[in-house]
Order: sequence, then structure tokens, then C-alpha cells
Amino acid sequence: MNIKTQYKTAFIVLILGAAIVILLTYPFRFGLDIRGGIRVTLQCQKVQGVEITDDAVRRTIEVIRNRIDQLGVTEPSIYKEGTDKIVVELPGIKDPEKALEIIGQTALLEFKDEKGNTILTGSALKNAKVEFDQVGQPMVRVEMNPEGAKIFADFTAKNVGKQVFIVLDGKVISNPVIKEPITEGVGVITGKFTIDEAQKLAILLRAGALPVPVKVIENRTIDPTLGKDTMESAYRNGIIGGILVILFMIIVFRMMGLVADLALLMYIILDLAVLKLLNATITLPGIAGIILSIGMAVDANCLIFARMREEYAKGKTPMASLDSGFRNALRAIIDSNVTTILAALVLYIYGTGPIRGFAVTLSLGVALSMFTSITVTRTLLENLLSIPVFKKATKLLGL
Amino acid sequence: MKREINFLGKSVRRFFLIISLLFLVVGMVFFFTKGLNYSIDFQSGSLLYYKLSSPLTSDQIAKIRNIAKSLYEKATVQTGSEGKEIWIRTKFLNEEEVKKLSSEVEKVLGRYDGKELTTIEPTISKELREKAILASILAIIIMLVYITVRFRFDFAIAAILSEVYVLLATIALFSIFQLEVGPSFIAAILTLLGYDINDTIIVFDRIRENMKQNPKENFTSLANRSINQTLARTIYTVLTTLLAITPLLIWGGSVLKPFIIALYFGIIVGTYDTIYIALTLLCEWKDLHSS
Repeated sequence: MNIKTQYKTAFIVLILGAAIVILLTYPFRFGLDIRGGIRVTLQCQKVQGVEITDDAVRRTIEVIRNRIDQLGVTEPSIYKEGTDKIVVELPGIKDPEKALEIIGQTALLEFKDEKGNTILTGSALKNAKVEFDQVGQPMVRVEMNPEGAKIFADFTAKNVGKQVFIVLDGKVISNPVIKEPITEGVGVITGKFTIDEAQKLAILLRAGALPVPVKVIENRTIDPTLGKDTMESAYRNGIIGGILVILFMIIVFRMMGLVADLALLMYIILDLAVLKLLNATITLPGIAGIILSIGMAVDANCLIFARMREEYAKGKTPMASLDSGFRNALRAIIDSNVTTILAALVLYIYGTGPIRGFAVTLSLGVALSMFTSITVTRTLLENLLSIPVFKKATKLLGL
Repeated sequence: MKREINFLGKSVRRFFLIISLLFLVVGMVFFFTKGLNYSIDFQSGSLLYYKLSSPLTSDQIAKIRNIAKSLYEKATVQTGSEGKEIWIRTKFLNEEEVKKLSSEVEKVLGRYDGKELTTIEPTISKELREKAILASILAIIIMLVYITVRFRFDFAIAAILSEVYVLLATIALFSIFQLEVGPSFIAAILTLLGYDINDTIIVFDRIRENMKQNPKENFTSLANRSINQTLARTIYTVLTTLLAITPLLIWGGSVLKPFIIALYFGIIVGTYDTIYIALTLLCEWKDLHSS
């Protein structure tokens, strides 16, 4: 075994070790089609006086994030799509309908006088929480910030005996009569609330109103049980498929096939490890794609081995056949893979969500399978050919 | 010397070229008359899906159909897995309408194992489609440039035509059998384009190598020899790839079935069209020029 082969072997073992560590420590991130949950796309709506700027969309996302944090969803994902759309993904959520109501409501709170002039809006609030009155009826207690408190104190002092209208998204929710000036900046909103409604209102008021109103244009709700069944079946069938490929390679290429199988196993380990490392979302078609790539990963090996057999048939030694087999096949492998990666790059730059994810997994599979089917296979074969027995046993080797 | 199979003889290649084109013609007739069976992702509307542990009775199905129709005249109700799955598809419903529909349907169903709801507005689906088309066109141009640089322009054109063929043929298949076209269909098409170009380039590479050794040789015989020389690899790769997904095709369940069918079909067509689209067209082109 020459020194170069030793270095390569050490390098491969190192990478494999790192991949296994990653595989054992990092979790997979499964898509909504597997985990269940909801995905909604919201579109910002044009209303008079409000421009849909990048900043407005960003602030809207911020408010939605605040609201979702209060729902206690793990790993929510909220991002902007296009110019005016916001995608919200909540994996594994139990009560999707409630979540949807909280996400999409504008929640613009206004305090108005009898003539309909706005005195204060929700932005003057510091806090909101649910309390109960003497008869156990829930109500929402709001605390104003100092400026808000001052304005409200002035207003209530001048309007004793008149009504104040508390309006949420254009609907009057309560209209108490001012009995005395309210100076400490605390108010209660009563109405015919259930506890749930009061809690929802408190969340909305704490998180603030959306800078622009939004409309739900896409809504996907998936039960967690559904995807799990399909994934388990895909997983089982993937393993069977992998075993079929492994057996096929051994039958056709004998020892060389076994070497390719080892490289294939390394490919699977590396591919899964990098997917975990990139925190890529694994969807059902994604799993099918990974399974397909297992079949495609040995393509380079088939090409190389077929070429090695050709060279060997011309009368070359096993080592020389190995060398010229790899050299001649390499050109074709590089050309075809570079073409695929270039196309994937374009898809990544110009595609949308699922297409981009696909481009990443596709190029990853191509790049990794090039490494395993060329470098790893070659190093293993060099090691094998350094054992004297195999220099003679070409039939067993598969040449 | 092993005997060569004559893939590219004039009558053979023309026969297969005509067959290939005929398939496309039939496919396009279906495409323009029946269209594609788009999943909800490419149309607007609402889709409610339930999975049950015991089959629905025809009485239950009729009741559900009535509920759906009362909300939307053209609603469709489909069942699968011997009545253990049901899909209710309507126009785009707002949240309240969805709630009304699902609560009424759930009253009829009683217990169910799983539920899935999808509602989509037209703008979303239109954008998805347009972006996918734009990205594909750009990808094709990039491939055209790369193959021209590494090989030749006429090779690049032939390779792209074989890509277009596998694309159209898969669309034709889906139109003829009315298989569902969803987001995974796009993923399948993209995978197939990658597979197809891979197969084409491996044969092109062998032609390039042979051309260097025998620059004077007639193109058709040179191409034919190259196909024969790479035939072992071609067969092995098709077999390993198909072997990997065969269990999924057989036992994979309804969700992934259209995806796997597209892959299966496209892998075979992608291999076939290297010979009977890309190389056949190149041969015809060379013959036209030498005469």
C-alpha cells in the first residue's frame, strides 16, 4: 500500500467518523406533511392610507411572531415570500383553528369618543391581561404607557358622563359611560366574553395590531398521524430498495460490487448527516428522492467498473485497468454531474420554496455520490489490490 | 470483438423516432382535450381529506356528497382504499365555510383517524407555476451553454431536445392516465431531467473519445459503437435505479404513487431517448449535411 493511499484512507475514515457523530447527535427536521401542523400563507391587503412597504411587511411578521410565541408552539417558522406574502408554519399544533384566528386578526384596538374621533389606539398599551369581575365574568384589563395614560386622563376628565367606545377592527366591543376621570392609565374592557375569547383578546392586545391587514390565501392543516404512517412505509420500502441495489452490485461486480456497496453505505450516511447539518426540511417526496438517489449513486461505479472490465479485456493488469478505468470514466462523470449541478443552481436561485429545497438535495446527492463512488471506491480498491491474493483473483474481484 | 447491436440503422431509428413522436401526438391530443388532473396546489379551491379505520357506507358517502353540494354545486367527493379514505373538493372556501363543512361532514363520519385540510387562492398557484417554468427555461439555457463548451453546439441542441422529450412524454403520460399533478410532480420532472442529461452525456462522452481516435469515421457508425460500449453501464444503472424505488411503487401507498410512477416511466424514457431522440436526430442531421 503506498503512502498516498494511506492518507486517503485516513481522510475517508475521518469524514465517516464525523458524519456518524453528526448523524447520532443532530435531529432531523421533518416537513409538515410528515409532522402534521398548519401552514398558512397570508397576503398583506392594501387599505387606504397604508402602503405595503418592506418595512410594513417586516413589522407585520414581527407582530405575528409575538402572537405565536404566546401560543407556545415549538419551532414555528415565519418568513416573507414574494413582496407581500407571509408564510407561517406551525408544526405539530393541537388547535389549528384557534391559531389561525390569532394569526390573521388585525387586532386594531381604538378608543373613540361619541363623535367617532379616535383618542387612543392599541399602540398606547403596555400590557393586557384577563381578570374577572364580581360575578365571575371575564374581562380584559389594559395598562397604558405614560403618554397614553396622560391623553386618556385628559380625555376622561373632560368627558365625564359621556360614553367611550372601545372598538376592535371596526367593531364596537364595549361602550362604558365615564363615571370619573381615569388618571392611572388602567382600563378594563368588558363585553360578553367567554374565557377563551378574553384570553385571545389579551394575546392580541399584548402582541399589538398588525401594521397592515392580512388575508389568508392558503391554508393547509395536516393531522400528525397521517404523515407518520406514510413515512414509516417509505422508510421500510427504502431499506428494501437499498438492499436490492446492494445485492445487485455484488451479483454483477462481485468484490468490486461489494466495494461499491461500502461506498454506497458511506454515501447514505454522509447524505443524511449533511441534511441534518443543513437543517434541511425532509418531506415525503424528499424521502422518495433520497431513495432514488441510492440507486443513482452507484451509476458512476457501474460506469467505472464497466470501463475497467473493457481495459482488462484489452490485456492490462488489474492495477493498470483500475487506473485507466477511473481516468476514462472520470471525464464523463464530471461532465454529467457538473451539468446537473449547474441546472440545480439555477433552480435554487430562481425557484420558490419546494423547488429550492429540491435543488439543494439534488446537488448535495450528486456531489456526495461523486466523492463516494470515485474517491472512496478507488481508495478501497487500491487497498484491496495491495493484498497479493487479489492481484491474481481477478474473477473474484469482478474484472 | 463482440458483435455490435445496430441501434441506429436508418430504418430502425426512423421507426422508433416515429413511434416516439406518435406517443407525443397522442399525449398532446389528451393534453388539449382532457388536460391535466391538477392537484389543489395548482388550482384554487379547498380540499378536505379524512382517513378512517373502517370503510364508509354508500349511505354515508351520499350524505357527505349532499353536504358538499349544498355548499358548492360543483363539489366533488372521491373515496379511496376501499372507502377508508375520502376527499372532498370544493371552490375556495373561507374559514367559516370550511368550519361549517368539516363539522357537518364529521357528524356523518363519526370517528376518523386523520384529517387534512388545504385551501388555496388562485394567485398562489399561478405564481408557483410561473416560477417553475421560468426556472426550468433558465436551467435549460445554462445546460445548453455548458454542453456547447464541453462538446459541440449540435450535441447541446440534441441533448436539450431529449430533455424536452422526457418532459413532454411524462406530461403526456399524466394526461392520458389522468394521474394527479402536484408539487411532487415538479420534483419528479426535475429529477428526470437530471437523470436524462446524465445518461445523454455519458454516451456523448464516449462519442467524443471515439471521434478523437477516428476523426474520419462516419458519425452513425461511431455513435452506434459508442452506444454499444456504454450499454453495460446503461443497463446496470437503469436496473439499480429502478430496483431502489420498486418497493415504494408496490407498497408505497397512495400519497407517493404518482411521484414514483413519474420517476419509473421517466427513467426508462430518459434512457431510451438518448438513443432515439438525441442520437437519432444527430444522425439525421449529419446525413442531411453529408448528402
